[in-house]
Amino acid sequence: MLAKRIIPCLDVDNGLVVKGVKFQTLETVGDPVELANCYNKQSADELVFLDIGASPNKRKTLFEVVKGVSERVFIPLTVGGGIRSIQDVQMALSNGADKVSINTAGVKNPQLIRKSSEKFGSQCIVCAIDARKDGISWSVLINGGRKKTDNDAIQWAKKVEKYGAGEILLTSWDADGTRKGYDLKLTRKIAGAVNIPVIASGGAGSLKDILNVLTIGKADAALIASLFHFGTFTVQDVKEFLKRNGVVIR
Amino acid sequence: MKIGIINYGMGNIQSVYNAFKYLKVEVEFTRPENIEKYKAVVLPGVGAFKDTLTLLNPYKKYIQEFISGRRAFLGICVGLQYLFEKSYENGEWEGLGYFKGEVKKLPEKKLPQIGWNKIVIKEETPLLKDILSGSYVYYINSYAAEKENAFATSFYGMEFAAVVGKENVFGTQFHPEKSGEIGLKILKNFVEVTKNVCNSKY
Repeated sequence: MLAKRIIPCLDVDNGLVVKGVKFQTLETVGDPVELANCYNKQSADELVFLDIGASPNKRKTLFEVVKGVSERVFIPLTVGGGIRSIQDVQMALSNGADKVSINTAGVKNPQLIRKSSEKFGSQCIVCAIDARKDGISWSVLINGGRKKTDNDAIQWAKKVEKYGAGEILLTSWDADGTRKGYDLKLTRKIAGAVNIPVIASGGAGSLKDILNVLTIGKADAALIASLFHFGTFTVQDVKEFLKRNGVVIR
Repeated sequence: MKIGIINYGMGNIQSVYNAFKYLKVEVEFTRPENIEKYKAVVLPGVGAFKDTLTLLNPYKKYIQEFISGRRAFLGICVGLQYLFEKSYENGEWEGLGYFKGEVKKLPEKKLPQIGWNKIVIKEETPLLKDILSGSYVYYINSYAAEKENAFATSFYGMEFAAVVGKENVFGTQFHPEKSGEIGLKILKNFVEVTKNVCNSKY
């Protein structure tokens, strides 16, 4: 049986880890290589690096960061943010990423998801979906949460699976940065709609929130940023709590 | 002594390289036709069996000669599967047949298996020295080899071979280069195995 995964997320801007609220306000957290090392020692199951600046120059900086991490940290590394082409995917993988997360460019051009999963294998293509509540459903947002699209989040999740994505990284716009808990309804709906793992993101404020998204929300993994960055909990704290509550973890 | 990592145009070969470097082991990439100069090689793999087969088949005899020379060999993921007789991944493909058995689709709804799973150790082997049964390792696979004769197995829809070995030839279905401390220890154990390859020719 697979263990549920705890994945620290490092939002990187210009070589530094930052943290935003509702995709906006930014605070600097620290050096990515140092943080990656630290989370690895705390028994993080994977690491995600998201380039939130996402300009071509800054992306190069991010790739250098990931390269540095991949020489010292031997757990799976995912890179995302501003991935627009097969060449970008190739660049990320050749710089030590094991998986690449595709968001806006995949919505605009689903062929990118299809072609990159054919070329590099589904296992390394993660589709990031930013979803915002819209009445009784959820809409897909692009451009770092700034632009709403006509895509329904659940339908889109099914489509990306069909296009060959190996995993879904699901962020609730409404919950992100609030520390009031994950959007359990959204996560559960999406996890039930697809046969690929779903990583839940956005809203973790307590140990209970993380437990809930992995049990009630049916997520396979929980992505956590500020709770770890600001030292509220360590990865071990989270894992011990989950273990005590009957969740299978590493 | 250097370890050669077979570069045949696919797989996450950089992370395998990084892991050996981190362990301060001399390592370099090699084309499949040049492996005879090494005492130990690693066949990494990510991707489909058919692609691996297509890329490796022209060099089949080099690999066969290598492993029959009692030298150390480690196949990872598809690299392990290639050592078996047959795979049913999108068709029916013939492997190297060094290990008896077949590679079959995991009977689970969620595929690929992505994440950390436990290994249960069935039999002692130098590759798993000081590794506890129940340790977690990192998997990415939809297909796996039959459990018979495996040193360790894992369960995902069915029990399958996690670690196999015969003489100095080993395979892991998981990715030791991505399995944290446990994985690094297994790679270190493999390096120790290579030290037992006492053929002055190499």
